[in-house]
Amino acid sequence: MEWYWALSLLVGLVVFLMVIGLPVAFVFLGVNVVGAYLFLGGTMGLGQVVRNGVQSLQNYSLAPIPMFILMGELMLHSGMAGAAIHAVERLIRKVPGRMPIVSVVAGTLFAALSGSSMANTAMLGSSLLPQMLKSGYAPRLAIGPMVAVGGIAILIPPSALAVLLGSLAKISIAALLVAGIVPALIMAVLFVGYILIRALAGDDVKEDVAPDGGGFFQRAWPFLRDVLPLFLIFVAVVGSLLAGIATPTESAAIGVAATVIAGLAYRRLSIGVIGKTMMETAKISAMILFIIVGSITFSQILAFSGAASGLLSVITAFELTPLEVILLVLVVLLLLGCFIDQVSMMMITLPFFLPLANSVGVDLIWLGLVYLLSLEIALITPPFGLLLFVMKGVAPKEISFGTITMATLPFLGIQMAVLVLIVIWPEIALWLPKLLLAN
Amino acid sequence: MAVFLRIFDAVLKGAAMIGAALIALTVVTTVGDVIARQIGSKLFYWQVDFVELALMGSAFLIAPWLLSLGAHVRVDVAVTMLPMRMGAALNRIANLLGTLICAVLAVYAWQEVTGSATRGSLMIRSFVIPEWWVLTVAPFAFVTLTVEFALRTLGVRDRRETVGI
Amino acid sequence: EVATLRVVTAFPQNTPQNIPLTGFVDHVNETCTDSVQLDFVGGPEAVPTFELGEAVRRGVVDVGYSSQSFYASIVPEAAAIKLSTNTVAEQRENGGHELLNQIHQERMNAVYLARTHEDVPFYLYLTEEADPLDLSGKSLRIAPVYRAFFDTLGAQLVQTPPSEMYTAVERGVVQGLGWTSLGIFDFGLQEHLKYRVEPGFYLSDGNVLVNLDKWNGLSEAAQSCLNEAAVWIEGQGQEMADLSVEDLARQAEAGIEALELTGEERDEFLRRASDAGWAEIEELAPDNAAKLKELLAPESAS
Ligand code: NA
Ligand code: NA
Repeated sequence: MEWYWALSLLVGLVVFLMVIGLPVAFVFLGVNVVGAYLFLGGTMGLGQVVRNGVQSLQNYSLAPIPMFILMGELMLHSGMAGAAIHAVERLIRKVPGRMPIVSVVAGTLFAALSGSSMANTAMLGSSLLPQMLKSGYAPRLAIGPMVAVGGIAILIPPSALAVLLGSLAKISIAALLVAGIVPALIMAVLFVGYILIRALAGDDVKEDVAPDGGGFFQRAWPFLRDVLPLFLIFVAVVGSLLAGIATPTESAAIGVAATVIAGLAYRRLSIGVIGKTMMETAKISAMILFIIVGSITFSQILAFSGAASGLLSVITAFELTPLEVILLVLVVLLLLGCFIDQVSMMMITLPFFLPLANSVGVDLIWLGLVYLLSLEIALITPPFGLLLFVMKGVAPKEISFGTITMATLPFLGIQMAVLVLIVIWPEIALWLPKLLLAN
Repeated sequence: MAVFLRIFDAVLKGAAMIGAALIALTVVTTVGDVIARQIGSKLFYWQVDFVELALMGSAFLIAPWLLSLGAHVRVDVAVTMLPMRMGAALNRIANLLGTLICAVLAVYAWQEVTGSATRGSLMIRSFVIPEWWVLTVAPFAFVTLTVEFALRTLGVRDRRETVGI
Repeated sequence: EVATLRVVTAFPQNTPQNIPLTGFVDHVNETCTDSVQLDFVGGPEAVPTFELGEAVRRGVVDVGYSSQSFYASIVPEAAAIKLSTNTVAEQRENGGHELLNQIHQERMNAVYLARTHEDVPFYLYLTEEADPLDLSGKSLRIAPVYRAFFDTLGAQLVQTPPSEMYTAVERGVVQGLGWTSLGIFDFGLQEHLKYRVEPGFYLSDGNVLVNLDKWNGLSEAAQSCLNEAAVWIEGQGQEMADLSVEDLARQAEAGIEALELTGEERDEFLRRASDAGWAEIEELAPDNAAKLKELLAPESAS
């Protein structure tokens, strides 16, 4: 079979099965059944596909994924997250658009403590949203920041998706993680700026001041008690790595241990909390891992059938410049991101883009960063945006999916602007990894 | 039927709990190995191999439970945009295809297990075990997934599809 | 009729480990034009490294190129290849190659066609000066190939994937690792490694394996052309040997000193490596161990 027929068949089948609403993991498994039969030599190929699927997850580099999710879920279900968010709330006072700014600040703080964007948005939504709606914020300004800031968790270390991207694309995971920090902070600042402007314009905001004011120390005390100690978790993760005690994967496990210790110290862990945390972690982890089972095997079939190298040779013939390659990557990812999840986005595109980027000499950290930003944006682009779904799950019943989507749009615009900035001027983000990892 | 569903759900939940425990153990053994190394002990020398197998095992053990909750991510644009009856029909077609896909994989997964057992293939890691022990999670997952998809095709399951949160 | 065989390698593409395979494929495609042609499909992106042996066994792949350590679960005896003390040419003479071929046919349903990489040894690299025979208190990064051996050196063993190896060395999680003469620079490890323990231990291997059913379906002309190409590529070891020597010279320039073991220490080091390797084979495949040792490692057998 010519490569373009193979490619059309495999990709066409993926699209068809996705559109009819088969869960994504099973879309890949289904295409693999057909692909194995056609390209791996009939029925003996089907057995091989099962084996490759079982093999695909036996990869130590994937171990941080459930661990980072576990950190986020532990903070959420133990109530440590809620307490910390309220502490931030007390600290920020007399600012126009106070509560939305609180969610951006708290969301950015949690990005450094959790590797899961979904846990991040769920934390903010369940602990702040009801109160914000009650005190009169328009859903637009209340919901938008919580959804948008969730994605920052994948830009700031620890990050489950950055680990996955690094290990799939063989890009330095450390460099990727560090490269995400500056764009994430730029985004957070722009979010706050946008909220301030809206608040000063008087739209959407009922001005409120923190209910129980008190002196500065009284307001700062909850922050010192409920937020600052949590940063020991961050120190444990990064410190164990820098001190040469642990490898990157091991440092993720140490992060979980530190979170457990924090939970014990705050007396917030019970058997019930741990059980609930583990089952929620199991849900999100298996959701991601089972997609990996199908999609890694899918990309193997793409390679084996010659579809990947065939398409690649056509694209390579255009002799694109590195910037054009980056733009191509970006457009394809943003389009795909409207319809599929982050893991599938990586799995489907990396077999094409990685060799392409290597052949024209694109800086892989730049490429990785564009990937991470596109993946982050895809979390909130409708119709398929995981964080939109998460917010729908934790928001009060009367908030519709449309309301959530509309509330998120201005922040989506800001994220796109940052992405464009990084494409035009990559040094903004790349100086930091180059500085830190040079020695 | 009700009794069957209760037993089936218990099996799925039980497997998922084992999967969740495996995830917890990846953390415990990894931290354990770091600590053991500091004090010169080789107690957790098998840790990396265990973590790799646990990752794989947990995904296959939890996936069927996840489907029973309707918590696997899916793209439901078409289903929600179509008129109710057509959307429901499309849903049923998707579930039927899911049943077929998992049934095929269940058959071949089972053949891999029996084939590996008859050939006596070993998994040679820091521990040596028969390979089929490890492969067994695959037929378990695909058989239960087939049953779950079939229940959905027949309309026995009425749980709403939600995205995993 | 000209048969076409699909070839897959277990080594990542664009790494020096694939040089002999490329040579073999080109040679076959030039010299066997009227009997058999090889079609290179790809590497681990198409078939996972640790599944290639299985893919060859069942015929998903016609020709596989792999180190024995990647398919040890199917042919545990193949670990003897890394313990060889004689040359491939000698093994073809004394029946060692034929014994390996029989074992591969029996266990893997594959013809053991050719063995390359024999001039690329493994080394123990260290970040600080230490007694290689007593590394207690140190940690070493290990892979399954030399786990048992490094255990006899008294060190803590840390298993990491290759992707985390650099960080482990850079941060001092480990004070040493095992690797071949090739590849230290690909991982940037020269920045942190200070010593290479001489002598090297074990040999790397890249084996050309052909699915047996596919082989039996080939014409006699095709079979003998492939056999000739196999002997030819085994005779082309010099290119890898040169690369290996080049890399060792580069290591010296980068400041990696040779830590030379001599006399009894040298013998002890090699003896532990050999004993640990053979003990594993004797445990997993007692039937063939003695015979393999006699034909592949006559020095250790005596
Ligand atoms: Na994060
Ligand atoms: Na999206």
